[in-house]
Amino acid sequence: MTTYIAKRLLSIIPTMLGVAILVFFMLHMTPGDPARAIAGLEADAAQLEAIRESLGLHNPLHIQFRDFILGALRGDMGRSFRTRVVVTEEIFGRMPATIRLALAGMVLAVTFGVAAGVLAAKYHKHIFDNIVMVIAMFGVSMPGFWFGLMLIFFFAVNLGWLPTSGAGTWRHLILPSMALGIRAAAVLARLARSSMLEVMKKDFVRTARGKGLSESVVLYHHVLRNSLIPVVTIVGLQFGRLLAGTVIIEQVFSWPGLGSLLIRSLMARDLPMVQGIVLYMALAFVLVNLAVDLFYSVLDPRIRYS
Amino acid sequence: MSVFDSRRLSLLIAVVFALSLAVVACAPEEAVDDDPIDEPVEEEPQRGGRLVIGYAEEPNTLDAHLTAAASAYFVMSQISDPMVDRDPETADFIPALAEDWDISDDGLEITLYLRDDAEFHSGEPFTAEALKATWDRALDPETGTVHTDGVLGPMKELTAVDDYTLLIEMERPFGPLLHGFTMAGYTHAIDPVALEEHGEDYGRNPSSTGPYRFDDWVSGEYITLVRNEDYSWPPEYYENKGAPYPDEVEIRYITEDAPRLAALEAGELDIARVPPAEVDMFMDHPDFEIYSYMTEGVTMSVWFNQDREPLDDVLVRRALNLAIEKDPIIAAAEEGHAIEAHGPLPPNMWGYWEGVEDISYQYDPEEAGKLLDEAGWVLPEDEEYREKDGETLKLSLYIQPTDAWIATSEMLQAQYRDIGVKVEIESFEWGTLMEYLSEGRHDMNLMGYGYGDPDWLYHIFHSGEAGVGVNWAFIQDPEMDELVEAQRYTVDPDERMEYAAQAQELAVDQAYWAPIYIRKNYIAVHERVQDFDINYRGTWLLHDVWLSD
Repeated sequence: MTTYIAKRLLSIIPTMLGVAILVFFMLHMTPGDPARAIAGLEADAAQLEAIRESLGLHNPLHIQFRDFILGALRGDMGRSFRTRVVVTEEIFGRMPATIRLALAGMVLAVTFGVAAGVLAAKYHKHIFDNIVMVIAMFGVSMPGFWFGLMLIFFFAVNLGWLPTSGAGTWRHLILPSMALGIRAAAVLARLARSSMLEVMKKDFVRTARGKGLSESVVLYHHVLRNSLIPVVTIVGLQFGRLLAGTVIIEQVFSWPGLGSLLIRSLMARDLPMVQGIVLYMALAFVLVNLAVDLFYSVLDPRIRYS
Repeated sequence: MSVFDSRRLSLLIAVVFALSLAVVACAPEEAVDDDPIDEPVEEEPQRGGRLVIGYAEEPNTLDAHLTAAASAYFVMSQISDPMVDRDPETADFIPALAEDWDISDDGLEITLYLRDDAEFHSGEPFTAEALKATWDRALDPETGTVHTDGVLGPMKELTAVDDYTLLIEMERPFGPLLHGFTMAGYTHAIDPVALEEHGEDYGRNPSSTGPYRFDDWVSGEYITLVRNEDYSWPPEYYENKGAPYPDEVEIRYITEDAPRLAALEAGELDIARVPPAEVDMFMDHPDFEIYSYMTEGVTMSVWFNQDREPLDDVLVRRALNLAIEKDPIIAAAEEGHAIEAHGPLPPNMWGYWEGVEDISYQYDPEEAGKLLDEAGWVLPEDEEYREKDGETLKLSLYIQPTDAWIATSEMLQAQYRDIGVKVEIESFEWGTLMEYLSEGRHDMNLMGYGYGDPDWLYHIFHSGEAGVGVNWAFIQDPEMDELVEAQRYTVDPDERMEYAAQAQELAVDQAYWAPIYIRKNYIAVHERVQDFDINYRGTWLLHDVWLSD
C-alpha cells in the first residue's frame, strides 16, 4: 500500500510537468498583449514598451519558460502582471474560499444525491421514484449560472432570506453551493439508484433476505455498501467538474475564490497568475483522484493496492 | 410504470412547471413605501453609517502609478485630492490642493502654490517635496508607470521652491496638463510614510490626503474605506467643509450585471450603475432615484483601416458614413438610451466643436451608392454586392462579443448590404481583438471610448500611434498629425480649442471613421442616501452624502 501511494505520488511529477508545459505554451500562443491589457486604450507606444520591459516580456520564450519552471519548483510563481501581488500569496488567500465552496457543493450533492438515489431505488416504480428522476433530469440539464441567478432572485431578492452575493458567513455559502452542487447531485442520484437496483438483483441479497434479515439491514448494510463503488468513482470525477464549475458559479455569486480570479486574470493576460491557478487546480484534481482510488479499498476490502 | 403511467408523469411535469411559473409570477412586490408624507424636508445631515457601493470591476492595484483601471481610479479618488478641480457646472478650473498656479507664456514653466493645511493619512504634512517625490516616481522609468506619466506629460524637472511651492519645468508645453491635475486618481500625492513602509505592496495599502482612509481590501469581494476625521480641505463647491458624514464606505465588487442588480434591489447596495436595458425597472421603483449622464466619449463608432483597399479611398469611406442610419442602431443596441454622435468627440467634452453637427453625414443610401459608383464599385445586374475588376466589395468587421457590439454590427451588416457592400463580422475576446487591430488584420472595427480631454484626438489620429497605439484606422495624414500635435503642445486654451476644432473638421471631411452614438449612463441611488449628486461628466460628488435612518 505504501509503495503504491509512493508510486502514485511520484507519478504526479510528470503529470504536473505536462500541465506546466501545456499551460505555459498555450498562454503564450494566445493572442493578446498583457501590457495593453494593463495600460488600457490611452497608452502610447513608449509606455507599452516600458511596461513590457518591466514585466520581463522581452526575454526570449525559452528563457521565460526556464524561469517559470525553476520558479514553480521553488514554489515561486512570481508577481501578477495585473495586480503586482505575489501570485502564490493571492492563490493561497483565495484557495480556502474555493475549497469551502467546492466541499459544500460536494457535501450537498452527495447527501441529497445519494439519499435521493437510494430512496428512489427503495421505492422503485412508485411516485417518489419518478419525482426524483424528473428532478434529476432538470438538475443535469440546467446550466449552473442560470440556476444560480434563479436562486438569487427567488431566495435573496424576493424572499430576502439570504444574501445575493459575496462571502463571509455560512448564509453566503448556501445559494452558491446549491447552484454548484445541483448537477452533481442529479448525476449521483441517477447513478446511486441504478447501482442499487442492480445490486438488489444479486444472489447475495436474496440470500440475506432468505436468512431473515430485516429489509433495512439488507438495504443499508448489504446493498448500499456494494452499490457505492461506482458512486465513489463518480464522486471523484464530479469533484473535478465541481472545481471547474466554481469558475462560473464564483462569477455569478461574486465569490472570492480562484475561479473568479482565473477569469479576470485570463482576460487581462495575467500570465503568472493564470499559470499559478491552473497548476494548483490541476494538483488538487490529481490529489482528489488519488484519494478516491485509496477510498475504494476501504469500501471493498477485496481491492488491494501494491 | 405500473403505479405511475406516462399520463400521470406528464401531469406531474405540467404541475411542476405551472408551480414554478406561479412562484415566479407571484413573487412578492418589493415593499412599497407606505409613508404617505414624502415631502422633501431640509434635514440636518447625520453622521454615521456605511455607504455601500456596487461596482462591476475590481481594481488591479491602488498604486496610482501602476494602473489605468477606472475602478482603481474611483477608489483612489476617494482617498486622495486633486491638485486642481473643475467647477461642476461650468467645467472651469478651480483651486483644490493647489490654491493657485502660474503658467509661463511659453508654457514651459508651471508653478503650483499648494495649501499649507493639508496632511497625509499618516499625519505627515502635505508639502511640495512630497508632491515632487510622487511625480518623480511616476516619471522614473524604473517604476514601470502605466498611465500617470502620460497624464503628467513631458515634464523635465520638478523643484520644491519652498514647502508649499512646486516649480515644474516642461520639455515642451503640454496642453492637457491642467486637466491631468484634476485627475486625483492618477496625479494625487502619495503618502511618503506609507510608501516607505509597504514598498512593493503599497498598491494594497494606499495612503494619501483624501476624505477617506484606506481600511481593508478582501480580494474578490470588497474594499472598505473609513472617514478621515482630520479632513478639512474639500473642494469649495461642497456644503460640507469637514470630514465626510458616513463612517465607512464599502465598495463591493459584483462583476455580472444580473447579480449586481439583484443586490441593489435586495437593498444590499446604496449606489450602483444600472445598464440602460435594465433602467426601466428602477425608474419607477419607490426606493431608488436614477441619475443619468452622457459618456464623455463616443461609445460606438466604426473605424476604417486605411492601410487596406478600398478603405484608403475617401469616396468609399464617405459612402460608408452615408449608409448608416443611426436611430435603429441606437434602438437595437441601447434600447434608445443614447444620442447620435456626429464627430470624434462628444458634446459634453471640453474642446468639442459644434460645427461637426452641420457637416456630419446624414443617412442617404442613394448618395452613398453614387459615391461607390464614382469610386468604381458598381452593382452588376441581378447581383447583391458591388464589384470592381471582378472583385466583390467585401469588408471584415472586427468586434468583441458584447450585446451592444453584436447588435450594432448586425444592423451595420444589414445597412451596408442595402448599398451593396458585404460585411463579414468577426468576433474576438477583448485582448485578442486589440492585438489583431494593432496588427491591422481588419478592414473595419467597432470601438468606443471615454476620455476627459480632446487630447484623445492625438491617440486615435496621430500616425505615430498606428500599429503601436490606438490609431487602429491606420491614419497617416501629415495635416492631421500637425493639428493633433498642435493641440497637444499648446497651453493656451483658446488656441487648443481652435486646433482641436480643425482636427475634428478634417476627421469628418476625410470620413476617417463613422461615429454612431454616445450612450446615456444611469446610476441608481437608494432613498436612504441623501444629497448625492453627479457633475456634468458623471463623476459622483460624494462629499455631501449622508445616510438617513
